[in-house]
Amino acid sequence: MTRLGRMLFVGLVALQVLVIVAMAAGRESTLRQEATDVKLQTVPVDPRDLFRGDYVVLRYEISTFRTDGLRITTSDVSPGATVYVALVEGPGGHWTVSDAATTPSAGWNRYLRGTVTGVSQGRLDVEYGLEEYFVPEGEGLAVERASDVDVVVAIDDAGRGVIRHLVVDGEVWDPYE
Amino acid sequence: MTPREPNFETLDTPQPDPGWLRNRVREWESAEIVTHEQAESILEFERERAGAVEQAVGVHRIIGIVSTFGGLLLGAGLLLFVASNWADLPRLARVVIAVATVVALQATGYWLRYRTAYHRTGATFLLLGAIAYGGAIFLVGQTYNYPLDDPSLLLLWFLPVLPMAYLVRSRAITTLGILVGYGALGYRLSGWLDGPTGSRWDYWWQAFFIVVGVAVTAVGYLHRRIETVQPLGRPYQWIGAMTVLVLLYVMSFEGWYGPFGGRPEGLRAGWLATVPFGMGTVLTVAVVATVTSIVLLWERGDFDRPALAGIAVPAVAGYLLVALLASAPYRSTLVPFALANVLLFATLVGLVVVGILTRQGALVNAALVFFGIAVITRYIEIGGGMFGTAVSMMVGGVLFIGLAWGLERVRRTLLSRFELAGAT
Repeated sequence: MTRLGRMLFVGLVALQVLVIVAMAAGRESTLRQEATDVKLQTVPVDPRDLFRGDYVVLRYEISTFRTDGLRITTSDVSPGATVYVALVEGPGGHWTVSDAATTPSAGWNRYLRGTVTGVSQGRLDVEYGLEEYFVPEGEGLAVERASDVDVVVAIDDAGRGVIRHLVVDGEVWDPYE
Repeated sequence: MTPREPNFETLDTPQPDPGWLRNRVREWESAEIVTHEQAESILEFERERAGAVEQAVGVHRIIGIVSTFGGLLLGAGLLLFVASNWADLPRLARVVIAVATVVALQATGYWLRYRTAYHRTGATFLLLGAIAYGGAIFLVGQTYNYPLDDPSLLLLWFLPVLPMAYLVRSRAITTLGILVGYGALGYRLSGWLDGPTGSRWDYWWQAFFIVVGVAVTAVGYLHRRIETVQPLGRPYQWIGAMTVLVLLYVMSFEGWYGPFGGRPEGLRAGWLATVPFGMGTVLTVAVVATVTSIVLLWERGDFDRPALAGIAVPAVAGYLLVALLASAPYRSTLVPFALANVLLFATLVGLVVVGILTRQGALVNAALVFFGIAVITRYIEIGGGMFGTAVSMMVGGVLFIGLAWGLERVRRTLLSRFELAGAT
């Protein structure tokens, strides 16, 4: 292999390392920002859909919301569009939707960036990239049998959320700790 | 004139040809350039050398196989060791292990392939490195709860792997790269077609992959223009042609056309405006790549007929099927069903011809296997309702044994022609 070839080889391996490290670093930096945590209430999903291999499927109260009184309307967006959903802390420490728009507003304290997956009469379905939680083999039963599951999410400045841990029946549940 | 494709697998291996040498030495002897004793000495010397080379090649092969197995066993053992402790490892340790595995495998592969004589073992490690990189993306994704059905993860795998395949001249990594690219496109396509902005036409995904498959085939044949990367064109030619073939086979089932008794609908007026931007972009790039490849092959001074035939067969059949489904010029489901079958069998015949022209025995074999599968499928689909199960199975058994015998005869005849033509 020529000198140029060797340099290209090293460059391509370095690119692979960069991709892996960037994936981890992006989420790790968000997880290290303690002050931006929010607690989200999950809603039950079809038990047949709950476990797919080694991860839990999660749906949230904020996954579906009505657009009445919000800046966004259903005609503003279509599936695949990016939306920003402002959150406020409600009773029980759960954060709920206070506003939504196609760009974040300066007045919002905490907001999540999501992707519209469905638009129906006056209602939006949104995914936040928080819908899968990977668990070690066999440990997902704790989640399946729980009566109440909350998810603590760390949010970065751009509104991207990362699951920090689950709260199962009031107890912090992190199978990796 | 078709350029001869260098065989990467045999580039490093001496190929003794005692027959050729014997004839030449006898000619020199007849022309009194060398004496009979000298001729015998030369032949004896070359016989001994050929024996030594053959022995050395055999030993190298065994060493290559053993070291490859060793590498695979070591890799599998390490993976199992890491997997068994994975849940107990901190997040950052998992990332470090993933990165170290990717770097170690590719560095070892480079060292073996370019710094030692263990070229094949090195190629195996490079392939393992490319696979490990994809695994690392998904392991880190899992660790940080990335949505793993996101096509961008496959795109991140694809982007450095395909250039790596060209750099190290590896068909296996090229194949991996193309398949990962297909996966990324497939995931993305489902996203494009899910939304209301996506076109509602029922046959979009078949049409999409037919156009992509034809483009992949064309790009594969375009590799014949550049000698150093010619062998890397084969995976494109194969995967592209097989994509179109599989889709033609899938569309040869009557159930695709009006499964609920309705007749298939073509594209509606104004359909172009409903095609999602990303999907339209991919389709445009695919068509442009196909046309460019054909033009560049056409412009060759020696007019590469086998290459153009290799593109034309899947292209004509695939595009015709897309056109028929898009325009829906029929009132019965039987018409598209019959047309799809005609196109499928015409493509199979065409691929056999292309296989002969381009001396690809494997392509001929694959086309004949598909032919057998298609005949069996049609027999079950059409004949099942006409005969009693027992009779149809017996008659079918006899028919298929006869078909298998006939196909084997055809296959052997074709392959023996290749051997006569000097194909390997």
